[in-house]
Amino acid sequence: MNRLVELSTTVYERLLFLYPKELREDFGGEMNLAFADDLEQAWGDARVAGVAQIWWYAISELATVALPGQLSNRYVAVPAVSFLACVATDTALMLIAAILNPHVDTPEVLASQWYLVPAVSLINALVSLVVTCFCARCPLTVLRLD
Amino acid sequence: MEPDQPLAPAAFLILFALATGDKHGYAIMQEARKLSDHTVAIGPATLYTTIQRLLDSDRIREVAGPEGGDSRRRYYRLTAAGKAALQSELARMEAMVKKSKAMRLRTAESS
Repeated sequence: MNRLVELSTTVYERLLFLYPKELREDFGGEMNLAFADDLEQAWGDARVAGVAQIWWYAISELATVALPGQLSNRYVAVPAVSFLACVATDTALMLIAAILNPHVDTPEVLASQWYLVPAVSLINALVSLVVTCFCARCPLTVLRLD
Repeated sequence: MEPDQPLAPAAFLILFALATGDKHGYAIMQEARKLSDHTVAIGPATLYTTIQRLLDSDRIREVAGPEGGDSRRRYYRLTAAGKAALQSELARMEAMVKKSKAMRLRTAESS
């Protein structure tokens, strides 16, 4: 097997973890096999350009198949939405505060404290994950009394 | 998948590819690309997500592969429900083409 094809197959096999568990368990092996076959064929037909085309398909599928599939899982969707919402609101609040305060040098503040928004958002996402796990086990939510 | 709803392009192409006989995943993928003149990008994830949906809706089923075939590959076959869905989709497309011709949306050269 060609080195590029071999390396690509190994990378694709690792990327399979991004797909929903059910799809991975039922068809992971076959997906990898189909990808390897496709690469072999593409390499034979068009060399590097063919391999690049197959990778383009594979990468676009991460957005069209893996991401929507993962977002249907509440343990991924809730923290992700929570993280993004927190990033948006915290960034907006920081900017509003900086604009309203004429003594603050906005670019300097953003440059020196850039890590605050992602850090707070990450904590928020972790808390939402814990709450989601708790809700899944809470008898009230099981009985639909919430 | 609702029985009378139009099929998604990938589902339609997979059913179409299986109309000529049992195939494994990669063969379906190649045939589907050929049928669409490579205008529909079907990669492994799109292929197997759609196969899963078609299996769940009983439009295709898994069958034993040929003697001495690669044991890692699973073969799929169109069911009666799958054939009906394919026929219905083709009839829907044909009706749309007829309507478009009646409305003169398609010229004689393009048909």
